[in-house]
Amino acid sequence: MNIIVVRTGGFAALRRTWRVELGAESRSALEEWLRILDACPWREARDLDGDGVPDRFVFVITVESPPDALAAVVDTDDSELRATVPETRVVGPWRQLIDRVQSTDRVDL
Amino acid sequence: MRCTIVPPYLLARLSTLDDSNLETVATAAHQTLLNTRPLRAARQSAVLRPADPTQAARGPQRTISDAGGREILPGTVVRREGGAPTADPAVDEAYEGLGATYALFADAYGRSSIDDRGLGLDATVHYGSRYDNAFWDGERMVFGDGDGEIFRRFTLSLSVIGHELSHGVTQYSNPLDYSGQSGALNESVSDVFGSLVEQYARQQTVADASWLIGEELFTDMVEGAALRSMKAPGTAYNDDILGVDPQPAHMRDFVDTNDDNGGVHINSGIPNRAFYLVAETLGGYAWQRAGQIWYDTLTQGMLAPAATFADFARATGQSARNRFGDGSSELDAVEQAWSSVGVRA
Repeated sequence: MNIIVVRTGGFAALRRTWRVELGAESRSALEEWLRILDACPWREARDLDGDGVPDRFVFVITVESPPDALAAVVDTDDSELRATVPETRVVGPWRQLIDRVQSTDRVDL
Repeated sequence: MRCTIVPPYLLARLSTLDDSNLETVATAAHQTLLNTRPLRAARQSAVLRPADPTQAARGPQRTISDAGGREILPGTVVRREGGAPTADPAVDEAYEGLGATYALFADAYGRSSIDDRGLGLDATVHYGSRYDNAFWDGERMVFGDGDGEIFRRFTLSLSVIGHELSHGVTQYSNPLDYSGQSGALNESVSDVFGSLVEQYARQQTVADASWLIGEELFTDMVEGAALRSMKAPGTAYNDDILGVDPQPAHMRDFVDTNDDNGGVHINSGIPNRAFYLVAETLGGYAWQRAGQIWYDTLTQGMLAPAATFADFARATGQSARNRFGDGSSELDAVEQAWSSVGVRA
């Protein structure tokens, strides 16, 4: 399972990508990722567009090869989960997820 | 004020008639145009004065707050209108920048604050941790400190402060949907007036001005002059890590993308370049004639929320015609500019 966060928009409109590849993680670390992913409201975010607030960021979050249990929650047959979340909606589990991906992958631009 | 009976647009049309029977009319019309040029110039400078100087003269009502590194608004008030400078450069830069923005709109266009009704100007600095952005949230301007690697603090750039407050002017005068072409127009209008705030504060002519947006923001580690160039979109930066400035300068290079609300900060390069071309053609101080045409377009209810570049081009032409007349050099400059960037009005 890979989690990719792409941030676009903002005053500078620089596209930045953070990526986490989860394979050899410890069981407890993987469970924590799954707990956060599971708490995110994927269904309502799938078709969200920008929030219309000038100069704010927009995040696109993609989970490649999600575990079956997670895909079932979102009711998708796709090989990936994807959500577009404008910055003003980045709260709760979305905030946790984005912060965690960014801090795990600080070097990539 | 003296007025001529025959409107300049009619004289201009008469002067171009090539029917030999009308040659004397054409010559006379041309002569009249030449003779009345100083008059028309005087009248134009008259309308450039503030519509209601007493209203605008009340001055800004600024309040600067400090978010203390958290992403919670508004934060704690640290400087109010008339208060002494603080030891914090971000606070004082925001305070001065809000004042400079107020000054452009009041002095050049007679506008009393962003809503033209004296609304208080509020800003928050030190928003978030290493936050690489500045934005207008519908009520206040918000500035991050930057991450220190790519970006320095966002209050360093007067064009950025002017840009954010101009989003407020757009919101109160002619809202433009923040996606696709109307979103790029919303962005471009903020770049135009953000740049003019800086030019007015420094009393720079078209030729003296940098036409850069966010010139002070990049750290020394970035290969780039600024975030955007209105004079030459696509040339502001070229950096190993950040890549190349993606802004197009012409409609043929319009970028179709889902990123950035449909490329609002990218395709704004096209109307930005059009504004620069109008200003360059007219010369002098850009906030006067070019800025006036753009200001009229924004504040006279001419644009639908979903306006396209072509709609905007037509509206700026109408504004130039309304204020300066058919056949005026201002109208000609506007039409030439849009044509140069590939937008058919």
